[in-house]
Amino acid sequence: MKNEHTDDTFLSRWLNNDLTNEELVSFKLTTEYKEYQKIIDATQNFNAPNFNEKEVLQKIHQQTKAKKVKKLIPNWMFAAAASIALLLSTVYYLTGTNETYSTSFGEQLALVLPDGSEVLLNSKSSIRYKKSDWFNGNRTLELNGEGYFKVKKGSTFSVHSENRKVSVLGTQFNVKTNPSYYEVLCYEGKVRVQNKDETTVLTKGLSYRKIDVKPSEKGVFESIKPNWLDGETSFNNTPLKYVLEELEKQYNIQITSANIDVNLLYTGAFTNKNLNLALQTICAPLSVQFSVDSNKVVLSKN
Amino acid sequence: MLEKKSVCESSVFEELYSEHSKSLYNFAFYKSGNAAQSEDLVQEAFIKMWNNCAKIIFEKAKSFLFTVTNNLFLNQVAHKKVVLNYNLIGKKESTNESPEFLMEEKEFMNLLQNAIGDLKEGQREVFLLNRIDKKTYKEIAEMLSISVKAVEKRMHLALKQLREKVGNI
Repeated sequence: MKNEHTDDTFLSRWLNNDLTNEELVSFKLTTEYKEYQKIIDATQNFNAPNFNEKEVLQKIHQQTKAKKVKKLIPNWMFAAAASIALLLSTVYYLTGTNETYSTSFGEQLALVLPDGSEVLLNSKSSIRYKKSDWFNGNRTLELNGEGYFKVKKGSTFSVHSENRKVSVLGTQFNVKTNPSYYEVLCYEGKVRVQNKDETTVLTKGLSYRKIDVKPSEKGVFESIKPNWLDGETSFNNTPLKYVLEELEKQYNIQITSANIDVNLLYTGAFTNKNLNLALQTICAPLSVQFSVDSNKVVLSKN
Repeated sequence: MLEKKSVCESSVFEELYSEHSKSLYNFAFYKSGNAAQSEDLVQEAFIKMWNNCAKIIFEKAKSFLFTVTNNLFLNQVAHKKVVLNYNLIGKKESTNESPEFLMEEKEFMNLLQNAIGDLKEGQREVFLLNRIDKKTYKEIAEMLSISVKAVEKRMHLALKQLREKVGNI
């Protein structure tokens, strides 16, 4: 009898009601059957401890939330950082910052603009422009002081200073601008000078000058480039005060000229390399004495 | 049309939790005999599922949970000999049985508990999942990633061994 129910899954099949009738009948006749049945009956009374389903779920939520936050923040931050960087660089590219170049006393500066045009800045001068304007084909810059421009052919190129404007298409010209003094010399091509309501067109060898409130003057000159590029400053019938102003800029000096008529007209040139020589070339024709004390120069009439 | 459920959706996650957490807990308890440890195992298994939710398809979530619980358990304990204390339910409030019979009955239950505690882990979990949780052999086989035949063998051996220990009473 025993052998009939000792294959290795017999009891499993019994519990699962998978035994044949014959097997079951013969099994029930054995002594073991009762014992097995008793064990099985007794196990009905067992139970696992209570499982605190909600509490564990809460713990899981806490942990997964904490983990999720840890995981997500870096991704989110990277994306944000990237887009901010992109935004900033785009804004920077589009608006650009103001590019400013300036010279001090006695300095000159040569620079190339974004379109390849060249500028030579004389002493105590500055230019300012927005890079973005230039990339958009808008060639505009602001000038203070004196500059010589060699403009590459292209769209309109304009030089602003207060309410004066020089605009050209491709040429070489010199602009000198002070609050009360404005001078444009055209060395090549054609330039249009706008001073408040007045518009003048200059061709090669022509100059435009406006001093204070006096009527503007047009002049003719022969040089092919400004003298200051060669270390000389030249004037043509210019009031002495502008000559002295220029001298101050070149040498970083202060000039006192108490009893001298600064409206005398001066024609000539002075060197930018030697103060004594320059003072002599200015003072001798006007029969004026000068004395130098470090950076102070006093002019006096005999 | 087949609707694909993503384990990463919290509603799906909750559904899996309410469906399986209790049997997972019991499973862990039949292995360890330690209620607190079992809770931790359930917790860890579900957290693991959540963290890997993108890699788990809904249909495999259940077997993932049981496999992970099993592995976590194996990692955690250097097995100590577990003595299980099973709660008794269905105790009759009043009875007309004789005191001797009740004494014998109690002794038998204690013996049976110890015998179950002494079973090999594999046999014990199969036996209790079937007897207490009323899981079919097929379900148990899926949980443990073993064949139905293997479950049946373990069940048979478990019962046989229990009888050898408590059968004489």
